[in-house]
Amino acid sequence: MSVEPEVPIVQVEEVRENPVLYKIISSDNHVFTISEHAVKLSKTLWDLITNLGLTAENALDNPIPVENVNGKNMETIVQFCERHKYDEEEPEYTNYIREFVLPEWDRQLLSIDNEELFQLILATNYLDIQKLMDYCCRVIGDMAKDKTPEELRIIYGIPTDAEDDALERSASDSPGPSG
Amino acid sequence: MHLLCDLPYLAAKKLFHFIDYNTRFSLRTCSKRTQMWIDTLPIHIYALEISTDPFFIKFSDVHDGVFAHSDMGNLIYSVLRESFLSLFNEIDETTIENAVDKLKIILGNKNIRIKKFAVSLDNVKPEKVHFDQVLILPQVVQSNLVWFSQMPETRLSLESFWNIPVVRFDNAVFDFHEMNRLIQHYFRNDTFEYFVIIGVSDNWFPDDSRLFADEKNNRAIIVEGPKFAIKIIHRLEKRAIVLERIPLKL
Repeated sequence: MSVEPEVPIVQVEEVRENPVLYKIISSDNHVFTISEHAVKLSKTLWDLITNLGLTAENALDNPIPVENVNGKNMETIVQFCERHKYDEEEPEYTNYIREFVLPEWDRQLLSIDNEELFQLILATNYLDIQKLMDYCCRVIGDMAKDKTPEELRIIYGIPTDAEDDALERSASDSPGPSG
Repeated sequence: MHLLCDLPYLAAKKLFHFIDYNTRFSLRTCSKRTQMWIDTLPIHIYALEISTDPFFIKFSDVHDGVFAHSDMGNLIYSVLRESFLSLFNEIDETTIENAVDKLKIILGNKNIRIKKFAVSLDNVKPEKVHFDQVLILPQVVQSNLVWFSQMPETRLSLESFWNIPVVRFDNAVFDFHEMNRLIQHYFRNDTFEYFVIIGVSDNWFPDDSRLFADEKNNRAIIVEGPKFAIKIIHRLEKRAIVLERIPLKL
């Protein structure tokens, strides 16, 4: 498998400060370098690193393949994790509605279209990055503020009942795997 | 791909930390699919306040630690309001029973989680209130705090709230022996934090109680359990009995 990067390896300034670096390969074979502090924000990746027994000495020689996340999303995720790696720990998890100021840098990072945001959420969910999930959901939630049902339908691309029914009918009419 | 309905469940649950109740109900009306999707997700209500005089039902969420009340003009609110009004205005026993059942069904929605539950029953005839059925609902039992004002004590049993960490009763009366029973349960259950009843008589403690005067010169008694102790304090000026959780003496 070729691991030659098609996009530049992420080398944001913070990465160079940290002596322990890890390599991650996205589903489309893009290679990313991420610092230890940053990668800890992803529970999935950190568990993987721990289970594989990667250390400061052998980390860069053992790139971690992440087959469920493409290069575009991984780039956003690495940028996010490097940006927030020294953040204070979040207060205790609560199920009730929360309000916080979404930093402008993050708002810019997440200013992407609905399809991209959806894919980023799937990747974030897979990599289990709580803070990024919070921010993504906050962006989606902000879209809905003070909107009527009709406006919500447009913003989120919600199909009408008739459209949903038509989609379901066409799905059931289409031939199955046996033809 | 559907940005909302196809979200992973955990992401969808988290999304509702950032969507207020009114928006939630607007989304619910967008299509049958969004309705089904919304109905599968839990409703976390930070505080539910029900009052009879003046009448209101308020759901609260939290914004930066500050309560943001919303008097919801949506379906659930309307049904709750209708149920609640009929609960106290109708005189026919069957109607009252039906209304309580209805309220119970609504609050009994397994998706509803309530952290703080406040009920004020001013100007209500005690014989018309059958509130125990509501109080024993899992959603209420899971609350962290309940506050009853003008609750007719004859209609409440201690079992209704003894799992709830913080309880306040205004104008309710429980005697010393009932309180002891409650304390024994608190020791077994270990969820207790604070309990207060207001409106007790000056000689609430039995004559043979081994009382002492605490640092604020209140009459008090300490009951020790296996893991912690409970200090029972009689605040005469407020006609209140307060139960406080305190550590065991080493």
